[in-house]
Amino acid sequence: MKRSTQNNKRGLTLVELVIGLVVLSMVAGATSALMTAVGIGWTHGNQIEVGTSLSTQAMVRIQKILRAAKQIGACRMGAISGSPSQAAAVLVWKGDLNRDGKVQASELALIEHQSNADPDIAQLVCWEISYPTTWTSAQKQTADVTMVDDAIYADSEITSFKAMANVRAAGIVTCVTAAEFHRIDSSSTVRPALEYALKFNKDGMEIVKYGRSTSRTPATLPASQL
Amino acid sequence: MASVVLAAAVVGIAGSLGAAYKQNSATEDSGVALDLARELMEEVSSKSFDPSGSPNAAGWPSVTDRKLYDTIDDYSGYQDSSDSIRMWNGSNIDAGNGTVFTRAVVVQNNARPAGLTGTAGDFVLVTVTVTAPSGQKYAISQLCTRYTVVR
Repeated sequence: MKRSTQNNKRGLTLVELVIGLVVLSMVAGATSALMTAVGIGWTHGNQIEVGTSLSTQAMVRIQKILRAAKQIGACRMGAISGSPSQAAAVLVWKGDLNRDGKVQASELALIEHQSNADPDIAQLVCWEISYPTTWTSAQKQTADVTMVDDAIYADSEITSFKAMANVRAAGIVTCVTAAEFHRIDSSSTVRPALEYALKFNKDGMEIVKYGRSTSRTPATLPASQL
Repeated sequence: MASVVLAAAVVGIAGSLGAAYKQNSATEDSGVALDLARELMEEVSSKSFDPSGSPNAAGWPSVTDRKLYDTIDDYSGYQDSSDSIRMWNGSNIDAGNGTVFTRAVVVQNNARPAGLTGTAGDFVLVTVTVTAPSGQKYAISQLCTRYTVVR
């Protein structure tokens, strides 16, 4: 006797199919949630890495300028929050390179915060004189300007310095949306310092970094500034 | 049986996600802690061994305002927390990005390293320890020496 094999081939009922689909969608949902969590974690880790890298870069570069500085001059405070009337800026006498006891414009540097609505463009810059590479030493000496005594302590010198010929700005670090500077100096301070707070915004993540750089060149304030 | 396998899988995945999150958090904490430690160490090491004038200003704990400190030993025992770091103009800032880190300074006198000659009292070892919200401690040390400034 021959049995019909067709009767043994049983298909899925509608209920079984629906249950299967529900289980599958649950597994898909769980997998999607897992992948989202992993993605968020990865993004957060990346933001931490970028934030740390930016702040370290800023601090190392500011320290490089300030540790070798002879004097810290005029300083505009700026503000870490709100809208300051003047952006944070500090004028620095990098050193008496020609050992004449006077400040030449080529020996100055200006660290300034440049705000911008786009956080990626907001930055800290360093203004310095940069003569054309084709110039001879004699041409550079002729073009250089000897500053009036104590001029670097005048707030107006910040604006004047930027307007000088051959003064150019180079970026120190980007994504700095706010900056606040404090010059720490007095008649008895042999190591003047700059205290700063910088607010970084990278991909929507805001971090505030606080730092301090001290001049390692012993130099008290000139008597006229006491 | 299927439920047991599923539960084991969920626990395993949750565990690995938790570990990844902790690792991220620890990386963030160590970055902030080291920044805070370096900043304070920079400040301590910029101070003189001896007072530049007289009398020597008092330090911690009788004076809590760091602005008034004039020598390294003024910082001995100093403590603060990141949500109230006092800037030079007197304003406080939150330097811990929303979490609180505690900083402490230890100044060890007579810290002349072995093998060096000279007066032991001319050396101090400064250690700044930062405790993260998780309890993890980060410490950096610097040896400071007495010297004469030539202007």
